[in-house]
Amino acid sequence: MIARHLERTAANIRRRPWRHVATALCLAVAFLSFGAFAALWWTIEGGVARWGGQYEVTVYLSEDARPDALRSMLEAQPEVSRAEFVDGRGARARLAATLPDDSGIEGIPADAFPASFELRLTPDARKRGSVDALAGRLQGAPGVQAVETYGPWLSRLSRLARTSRVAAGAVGLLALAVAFVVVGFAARLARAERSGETELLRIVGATAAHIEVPLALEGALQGLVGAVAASVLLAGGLSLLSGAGGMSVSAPPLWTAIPFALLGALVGAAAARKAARASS
Amino acid sequence: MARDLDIHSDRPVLELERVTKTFRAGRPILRGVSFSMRRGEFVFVTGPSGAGKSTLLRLLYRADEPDEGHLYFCGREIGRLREESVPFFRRNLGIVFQDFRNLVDRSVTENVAIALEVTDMPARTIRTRVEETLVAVGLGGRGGEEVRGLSGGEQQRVAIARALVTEPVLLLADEPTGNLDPQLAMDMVGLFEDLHARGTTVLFATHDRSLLAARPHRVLALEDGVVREMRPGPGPGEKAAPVVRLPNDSELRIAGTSRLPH
Repeated sequence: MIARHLERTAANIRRRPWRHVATALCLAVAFLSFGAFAALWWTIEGGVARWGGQYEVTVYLSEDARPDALRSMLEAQPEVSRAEFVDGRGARARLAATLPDDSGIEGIPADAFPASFELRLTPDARKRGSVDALAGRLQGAPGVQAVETYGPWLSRLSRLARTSRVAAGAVGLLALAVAFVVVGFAARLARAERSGETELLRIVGATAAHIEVPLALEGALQGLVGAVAASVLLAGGLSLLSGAGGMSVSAPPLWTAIPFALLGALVGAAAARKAARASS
Repeated sequence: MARDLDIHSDRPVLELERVTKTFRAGRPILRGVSFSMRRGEFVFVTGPSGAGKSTLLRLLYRADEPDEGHLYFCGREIGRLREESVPFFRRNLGIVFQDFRNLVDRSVTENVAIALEVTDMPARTIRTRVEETLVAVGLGGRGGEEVRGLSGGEQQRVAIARALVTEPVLLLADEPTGNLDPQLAMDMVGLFEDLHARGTTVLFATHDRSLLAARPHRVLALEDGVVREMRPGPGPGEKAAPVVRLPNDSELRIAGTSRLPH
């Protein structure tokens, strides 16, 4: 019986190929929107991880500080996973790397830049409260001139990331809902076009599955094709953005195309089945 | 369902007991309709348009349910079938409509095969059965033609072939000649009689009383929601003799029956 369902599905597609192509294209657009916002989410996550993981706490040294002794003290703190020493020259070189070549920064003496320790924190300690507690303890330690936690900046970044995630998630869900509606309408249209056939099938003793399964299979196929087309378009678009635009875009890994395609098939099948039942 | 049905015993193929159906309050379209049909019978149901013939047939193939009364098919009450059993029940029926209900963008073979494709029958068996049935209805060798290119009479033959291909216990025909010219209509009745002669049980609904003339079959008249036996058919084991139509008599009378030789 499954073979017969597949035969009927194939026959239905052969009879109206362009309607199926048009539906798959509409779905591709909806899935492309979903994929684009998924990529945006991914990029935000990557950015937050990258920026949040850098220079979580910077400890500026006083002139009389002894870096070796201070490193031991810093690495003994439970919140600290690593302490990296940056002398004045290194600090100047880092700043120079972010400025234009003609900035003249190389002319500034290296000792004008204070030496520092850049602390990487353990994952558990990357909370505002933990960072503030650590900064409070270090603030009065011998050889420490100042402690920079970037707290307000990281808080703003976190808030921005959270808002962006919610927006990306909402638009992604909206795109999925659009895909669901598109397949639903396509299935209803197909059902209306085939009302005569459906009526005839009922009269000759077709079961509900015999009528609904081919529609669901058509929806699944449309969803699958739409999702695969969206994946290809998305990969191409992200590659163009990363290459030509020089933007830092974190594309989802290649394997995510498989669950994405399956999600497309699932959305297609579910919408078509729902539409078939609603119109029966 | 087919396995549960007692389709080989002598009990009636169809039995209706005091069936009532109302669509508009106070104006029942069927009022306490009772009759039964034996295996191998050919029964005409006649009556003017709107008399309830189609409603009666819809009840028989469970497109509708009666408000009161009982309908039995081979001893099984149709109204008590569960919804999921209805498709299996319908596979025991062949149904022909006035408007043919063909899929005009498909071939003759596809239109007939659809009735077998809903079962688990192998494709090769379906092909063979369809070809045999097309020969039986006079469309042998025309299976590949698209239905939209056929005449009205040929399209109705396609519909009849579809109804017959499953070898149904009962063939229901709802005004099957309504869209055909008088000559084609007579030919079509002749086709149903040929099928009946080969053993098919037929219930034929028509408003056209001219079709009943000189037809030796039982006639039920449906008027004002009530069915009355207008003319009995031949009894079991009897061969129907031709009906003689009396001058100036619009009603049909029984000419008599003769017993089949043993």
